Amino acid sequence: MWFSAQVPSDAQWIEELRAGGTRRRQAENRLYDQYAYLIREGARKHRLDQEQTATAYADALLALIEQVVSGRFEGRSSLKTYLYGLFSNKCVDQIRRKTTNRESVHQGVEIDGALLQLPDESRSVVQQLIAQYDAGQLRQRLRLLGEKCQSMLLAWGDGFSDDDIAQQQGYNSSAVAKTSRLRCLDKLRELYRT
Amino acid sequence: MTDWNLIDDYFANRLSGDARTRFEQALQTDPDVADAVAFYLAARSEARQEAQDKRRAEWLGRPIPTPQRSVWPYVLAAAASVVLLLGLAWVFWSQNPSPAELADSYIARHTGPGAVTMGAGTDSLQQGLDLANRGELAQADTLLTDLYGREPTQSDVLTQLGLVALRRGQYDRAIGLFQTLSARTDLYANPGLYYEALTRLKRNEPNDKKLAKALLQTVIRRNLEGAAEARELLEQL
Repeated sequence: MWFSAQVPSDAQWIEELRAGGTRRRQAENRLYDQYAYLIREGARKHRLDQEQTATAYADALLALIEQVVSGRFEGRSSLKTYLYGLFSNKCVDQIRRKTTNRESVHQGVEIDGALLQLPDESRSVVQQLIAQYDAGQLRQRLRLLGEKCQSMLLAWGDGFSDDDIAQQQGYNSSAVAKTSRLRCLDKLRELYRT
Repeated sequence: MTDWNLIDDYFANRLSGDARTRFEQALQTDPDVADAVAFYLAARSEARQEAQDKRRAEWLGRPIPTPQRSVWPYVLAAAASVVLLLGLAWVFWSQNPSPAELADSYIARHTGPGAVTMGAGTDSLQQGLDLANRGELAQADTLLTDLYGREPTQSDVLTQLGLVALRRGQYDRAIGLFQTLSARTDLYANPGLYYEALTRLKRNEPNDKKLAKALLQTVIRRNLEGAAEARELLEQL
């Protein structure tokens, strides 16, 4: 529950972000606005243009949200301090990108933290198999899916639960949402193979 | 047919211990399962990237809000400034006492317990001084007024009567008495002008400070009674 004009405490931010659904979306937007002044500060400090700093800020916020939602944010520092640290690093990334033109370098599929859930003996095999997938092609096929399938897989990738997806997409239950989502995943694989 | 449900449950930690072990064994032995897991993770990673790209694009399309900073730093800064100014004012005023405060400190040297009495010539004068030193000013006033009536040439009586009037806050009367005293030309030592200057500083009416300074300068120039204190006092005014 938001308190009108007050800045929420870290505990309130975390609660809202982990609540999922529209509460999470609202919290994300409000969190973005709350510290958006960092964009101007970052542009001045790192001598980047406002668009680059805004991208760095958005990337930092996305990383923070992902860590909070996945439970990896341990709260050893305040959210603001943590965000500021991430933002500074992302600004440095922007500077490197500007000077080395790294955008043109091919990027594979980013290794997911979920790999750590696999037993040691299978992990490297799966990792090698993932590396064989072409990230660009996979992304392109994802965009070829129907709107509903696409948004369902995007919500899944973004860490939303099947319960959230069911509410967003108007399914009767999370079980139905899950079945539909996995059917979409299968469809994506078929598309990728063709 | 790929069992996405099993893979999904595995990564969501929804499998029982046995089912989990069976799945992990299949992962090691069955290349199709390993490939399906790889695809599952790759697809999720790309879906996340795509979702984040969309989110990023949404945010970048928004105007950058102006900073919403707390007003408290400004309030605290203002409060600190006020405290600093008050402190400076206190230091300034404590180092630069008002003319009336200055007069008080100099008047105290000539009145009250331990003050220089200039030698009481008569018993009544001594009695009047004792009363004044004890702070019984009204009685001292009555006694000295009576004595002055009887012995108007006694300059010590006139001086003490003027000081009593000054201490009683009867500044106009005190000034009149000190002017009478300073008009005397038959005295070896005449503090009339000096005491008038102190009285004017104490009264602190418009022009009093200016007149007091002029009187003190006269005391110094003519080397009258109180010249040393007058010099000291002028430096502080």
